[in-house]
Amino acid sequence: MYGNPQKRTNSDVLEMRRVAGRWLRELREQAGLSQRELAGLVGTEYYTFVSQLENGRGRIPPDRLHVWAKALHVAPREFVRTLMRYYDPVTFEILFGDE
Amino acid sequence: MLGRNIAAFPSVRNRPRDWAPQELAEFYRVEAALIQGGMRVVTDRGLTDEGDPWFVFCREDDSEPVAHFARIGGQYLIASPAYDGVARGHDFRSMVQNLLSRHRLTPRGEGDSSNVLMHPAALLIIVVGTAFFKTPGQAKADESHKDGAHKTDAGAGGASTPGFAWTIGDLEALKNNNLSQSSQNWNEEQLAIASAVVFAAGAYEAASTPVVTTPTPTQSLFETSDSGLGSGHASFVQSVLSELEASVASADFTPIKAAGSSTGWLYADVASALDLVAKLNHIPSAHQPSAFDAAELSASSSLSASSSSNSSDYALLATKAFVGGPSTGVSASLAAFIDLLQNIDHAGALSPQQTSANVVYHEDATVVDFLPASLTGLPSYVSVQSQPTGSAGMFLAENNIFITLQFNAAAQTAADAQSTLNNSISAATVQVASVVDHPTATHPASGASSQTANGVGAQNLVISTGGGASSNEVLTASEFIQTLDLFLSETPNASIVVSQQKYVFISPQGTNSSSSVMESVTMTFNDGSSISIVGQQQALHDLVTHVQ
Repeated sequence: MYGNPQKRTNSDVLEMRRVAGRWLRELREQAGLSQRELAGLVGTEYYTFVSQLENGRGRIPPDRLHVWAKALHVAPREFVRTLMRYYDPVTFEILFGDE
Repeated sequence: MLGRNIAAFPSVRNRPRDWAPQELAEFYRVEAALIQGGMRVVTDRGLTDEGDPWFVFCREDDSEPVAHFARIGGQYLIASPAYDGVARGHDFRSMVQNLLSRHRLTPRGEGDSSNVLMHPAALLIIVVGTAFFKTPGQAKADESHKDGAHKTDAGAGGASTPGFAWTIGDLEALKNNNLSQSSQNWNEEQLAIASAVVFAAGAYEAASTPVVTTPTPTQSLFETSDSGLGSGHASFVQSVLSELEASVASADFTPIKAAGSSTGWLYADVASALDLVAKLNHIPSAHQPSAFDAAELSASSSLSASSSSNSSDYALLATKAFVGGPSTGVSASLAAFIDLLQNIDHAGALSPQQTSANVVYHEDATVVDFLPASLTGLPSYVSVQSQPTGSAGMFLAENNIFITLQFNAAAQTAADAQSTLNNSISAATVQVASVVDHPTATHPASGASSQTANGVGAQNLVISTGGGASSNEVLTASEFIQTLDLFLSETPNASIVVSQQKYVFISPQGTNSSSSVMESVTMTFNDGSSISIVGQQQALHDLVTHVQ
């Protein structure tokens, strides 16, 4: 399983996940998809996982990022970059901190 | 017929969408136990856009989920990176047990006992606790980094813990103070989980009586586990030990745990029916928040004033609580209910040879109770004969139902018991018995045989369908079992009465209303034993026709 410690406080991690979750929810709603429909498109075994993600718990598995981006009609690069801001802020800061 | 609405037996499909308080209590109990065991776990829950509830256990340090629970369209789901695949089913307990079984938690090798009594919540703790250690996390990576001498198998790389599997023998040993030997080679993770489980078991058994059959558990385990888990764990261990020792030393039946605490198994050594009643009065009431609906104990309270009779051999109710209701969604089928009753038997409770009976209380299953007096107004009983040989006891035994009660005092008939005790002791028990006192024909006839109101000497299943009139509907034995299965799946708070080898499954609907027309379907065996289903007349009719 993908492990990605960020050395941040628990509340920081949770809050960033929640922000990411809200963003994912907005994308899904803009795409006109229900959580179940999105789950079907991205191949999750249970659609409650989508709700869990949108509530800031858990992350999209790296090997599913591309299919999620496609389902949500977002360019994969932009999708991953935005998620990285929340999921992996340390790496994001190194890569894009000066932008 | 399949689409027929069985209005009087609320369907499990009508259950509330969000988690029920009892379900949440189970989850939070697991969380509390794991935290007490030294695991940094947080939980979260929510509803999907369709209203289906989910609940997730996460690592506190990095918010990574370790176990996801959901109920989707009435079907439970358990998912965790630690376990292969996703478990789905309508019987949550069976799912947990199956999950454990699939991960080598079943008996292995000689000496493993299958007679393990672990509260289902304790098993759930094992599921989540194991998932906690089998999934990666920041804390674990840190721990491994800081202490190279304590290599773990489940570090940040995500490898699972090879070879770590609870066996039934472990659990049995855990409950019998013998775990130290098997635990010597465990690592600190395993011991932490063991401690969590012990804590859970202790929390439940703290409410047990002095006759609890398990010794004070695992002093040696605690000593061993304490070596690698820090001072906080040591204090936790000591608190658990103190609590368990207090529970064993206690001489009365007052629950050790304070009001509002966890409840679970309650064993009571019952010498008489009144003894039973007295003990039941110590089961937490509805005013003491717990994971079960204590309202079902109300009938027992009404019997507390019963006089000094100290012998009986009569009805006992085991209430299958919450089925279809807002609860943990355990038994949704006869098979599940049988499984539930197996657990009762595993409590070491009831065998005909015993001179005294243990009465087992469990939040899901077996509130001991007496038949409601209102059932005495049942307008008619009809009897069914569809089992050519054997007995009800044999039939139930073959289906792994062991619920026979045998009080140690001189046996009395139900009628004697009725005259001895106050009138709360149900005359309906006698009435039910009267239906089946007479052995019936040895083989079911192919056609229907109409019945009298009392149904004595029935040849085949006959359902009376209103006003005492008989429609002569006939069930085969198979259909009867299907009816019972459907009845159990569709009936919240169904009760089972055991009286002199007569097993009566009762729907609570209508039993308190004098205007309700109640009726029964009974399968009678040659030795006079029987299995009956009692419910509202039309609902019962619908059930029967549903399976025909």
